[in-house]
Formats: sequence, C-alpha cells, structure tokens
Amino acid sequence: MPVYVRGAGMTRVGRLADGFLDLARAAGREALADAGMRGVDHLFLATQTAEEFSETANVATAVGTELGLAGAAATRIESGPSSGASAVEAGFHAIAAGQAESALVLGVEKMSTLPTPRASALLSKMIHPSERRYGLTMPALAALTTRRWMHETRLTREQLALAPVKAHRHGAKNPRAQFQGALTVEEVLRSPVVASPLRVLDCAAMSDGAAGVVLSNAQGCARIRGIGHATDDLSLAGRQHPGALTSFRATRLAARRCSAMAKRGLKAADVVEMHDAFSVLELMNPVDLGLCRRDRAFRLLESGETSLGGSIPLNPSGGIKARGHPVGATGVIQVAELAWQLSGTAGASQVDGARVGVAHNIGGYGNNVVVTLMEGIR
Amino acid sequence: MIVGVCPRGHAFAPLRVLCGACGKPLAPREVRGAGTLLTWTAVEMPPEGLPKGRVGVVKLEAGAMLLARLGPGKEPQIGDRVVVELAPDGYRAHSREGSRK
Repeated sequence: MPVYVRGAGMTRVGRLADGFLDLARAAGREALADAGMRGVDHLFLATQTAEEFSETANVATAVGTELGLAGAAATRIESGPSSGASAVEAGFHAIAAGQAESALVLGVEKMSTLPTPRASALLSKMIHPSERRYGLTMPALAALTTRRWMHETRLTREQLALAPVKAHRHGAKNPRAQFQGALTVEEVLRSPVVASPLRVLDCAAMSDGAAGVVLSNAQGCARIRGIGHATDDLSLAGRQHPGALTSFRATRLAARRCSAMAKRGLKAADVVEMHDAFSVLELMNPVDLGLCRRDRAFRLLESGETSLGGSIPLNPSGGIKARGHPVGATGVIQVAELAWQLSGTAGASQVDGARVGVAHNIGGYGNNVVVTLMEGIR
Repeated sequence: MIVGVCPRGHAFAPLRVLCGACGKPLAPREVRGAGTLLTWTAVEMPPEGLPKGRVGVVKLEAGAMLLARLGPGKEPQIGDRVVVELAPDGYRAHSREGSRK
C-alpha cells in the first residue's frame, strides 16, 4: 500500500508562550485542515521529554483529546531526538500494512519551561551512564567528535564556523525559524565555549515547537518511498567500528536501508533536511549519507553548493541550528518542510523544481538514526 | 584495568554483561592501562550538579576505547600517550611524559 503525505502543519519554533498542548493543537489542526480531513484512524505522537518539561503523562491520549480525536487509536513514540522520524515511520507502517487508512503524526516539544542548565541535565539522561558521569552533555560528545574531525581533516576553527553562518542565512528566509537574523564568523568565534572547541553558536538552542503531517493511503502531495532506521551503541566509546569518532555508522546503515527500500540512491535528492544539531554535523552528515566524499564536505559548504541555489541544498529551512530543535518534534518538522518543498510551496526557502527530498534525523549522539526519502506528486 | 571482551574481539570499558555489538557475554580481562588520546574536550557548561573539567577518549593498547578524565595543566594533544587508572569517580588518564606519537 503506497503511503502519501496529504497535509502538513507547523507552529513557529522558538521560546514561545504556548504550552505543550497548545502547540500540539495548533500544529495538529493545521495539518488536518491542510489535508481537508476532520479525523484520522491513528494518532502517532512524538515527544522526548514531555513528562519532565511539561509535567504531563499519557500524552498521546491528552493530545488526541485536545484535537477532538476521541475514538482514534493514539500511540506515543520515543527514540530520543529521532522520535519525530520514528513516529513518521510508525505511521507509515500502519498505513502500508493496511491497518489504518490515515494517520496524524505529531511531534511536540516544550523545552523553555526550565532554565538551560536544568534542561541540559534532563537531555543528558539520554547519554550512557558510564559517560554521563564525566559531566558530558550532548554538546560535549559533539565536541569530542569535532576535535577529532578537525584533526583528521585539518579543518580550522574559522572554517567550522561557516556551518552555523550558512544555517542562519537559510533560517532568515524561513518565517517559522527560531533565528531569523544573519550570523557572522566573528560572532560564532566570540560566543562562549560550551565544550571546547564548540561554542554556544555551534550548538542547537532549546526550542519550543510542534509539527504535524497527515499520512494517508489516498494520494497527497508527496509519497514516502523509503525509510531506513538503524542504531549504534548508546555510548560513544563503546562503538566498535573504525572511525567511530568521525562517522555515524547508524546514519550509514539507515541511509543504505532507505536507499534499498526506495530503489534509488540518496544522491537522487534535490533537497535534504538533515540533523545539524552541532556545526561538525554539517560536514559529517553528507559524508555518512553518501552524498559526498569526506575530502569534499568542507569544499561544498564553502563554495555554496550546499546552500540554496547550490547543487545539493542542505537544510534550506535553516535546519536544527537556525530553524530550531524542539527535540521530539524535529523529525516531523523535517518531513513537513520536505512536503512543502516537494509541492513547491516552501516560499523563500524553495529549492527550484525539487522532486525528491531526503530527511535525516538523529537520536542520541549518533545512536538512533532514521533516513526517509520522499518524492513529490505533481 | 579490567575490560570486557567478547568472543569476536569487541571490547568495552567499563565492563558490561553483554557485548553491545553482538550480544554475546563479555569475559573480564585484565589489561594494562597504556593507551593513546584520540580526542578530548574541556566541558565549560556541565549539566546541573556536575563539575567542569577535561574529558578525553583513550584507545587502550589492549583494544578498548574509553572515556577518562584528564588532569589540569598542560593542554592535551591528540596522539598523547597516556596511562589510564580507575579512580573512585571513574577513569583518569595521565600523560606518559615525552611520549607523543
């Protein structure tokens, strides 16, 4: 059974006044209205840390109630920051198997309720206890791979700063993005160190936001052609493959599985929304996704090939860095952004003539990855 | 130093029950703490309740990769040869003077 995206909706991303259920309701209503539907067979809700950030539980039912979906099945899906893509995958399975004809996949996260050090402590719970005990945060794990990447590829700190600068240039075109202003290399290099060599402006911010997509067996604006999902060891030091400090095997496996299911290489993508939570991922991800060789990654960024108007635009939405990262919502946001790209309605972020889109969503620090390939129906 | 090794040679420190890569039981093996620093960071913004400090990834000569605290003082360099020991708060790596790879 083919599975289509029939509608999409999304709130602004940022530090918002709205609460968890307000965000869920807004994105859900917009997605249903866009699909021209009042109800669905199954609600899949992605959220990572709703219990602690928003003091709520049994959230799938709560959100279903808020949207007037009593009667529909409702399930919460969680795989860390790839929860959103995992929920899309679950919705895909339900429809592809013929168990549901339609599903609303919603990703929601409300993170600004707590001060950053407390929020950071909550997010650090996704790190292996044997590594968390050293005071490591997600940025600190990213810092370990960043220093190693810079060492192996002879990348300078100034060159690395081009990644967030590019992200913000794209974010400035996206009215829903958390950061709408341009950023300079100097501003990145002047921002405080989080975990050397990473600075504040290398890292995703704490964000509130929600997105929804309606999946259906009836034709919509885009068809999901492939989904690949893979994990790696929860700990960074426990990964057994060579090069584990500068490459995510989970991304490589998920990309390969997605590609096999879609029966085409990911290089077919006209537009990619990928998980750039830290500057170094702007360079690592395209290599792990098989889009370029490692020695080309920085050149593509520097030359503008990965910017809007380039040969392979990465994150025209601004990505996680500039659009924002409401963690459990991010994977659904990516699919919504691609649905708009593939239907030619992405506004100032539009990639001309985009027909194939790839979404890449990472859970944990490189240990639970989903890659999704979508094709526009025009 | 005790590391866990599975029949296929996957190695973990600290010891776990099962190999994360193939699910086989891990056997404890005593090894020397000598190794090489692969990368490091100085955590300036730790999560609530934990201290700032330097942390590195060390590859033991015996095979396992592990995380270890690094002491203050001279800035570490990738390739530094270190010795890892187990302290009450986890692994600590000390530099083996004048022995950079």
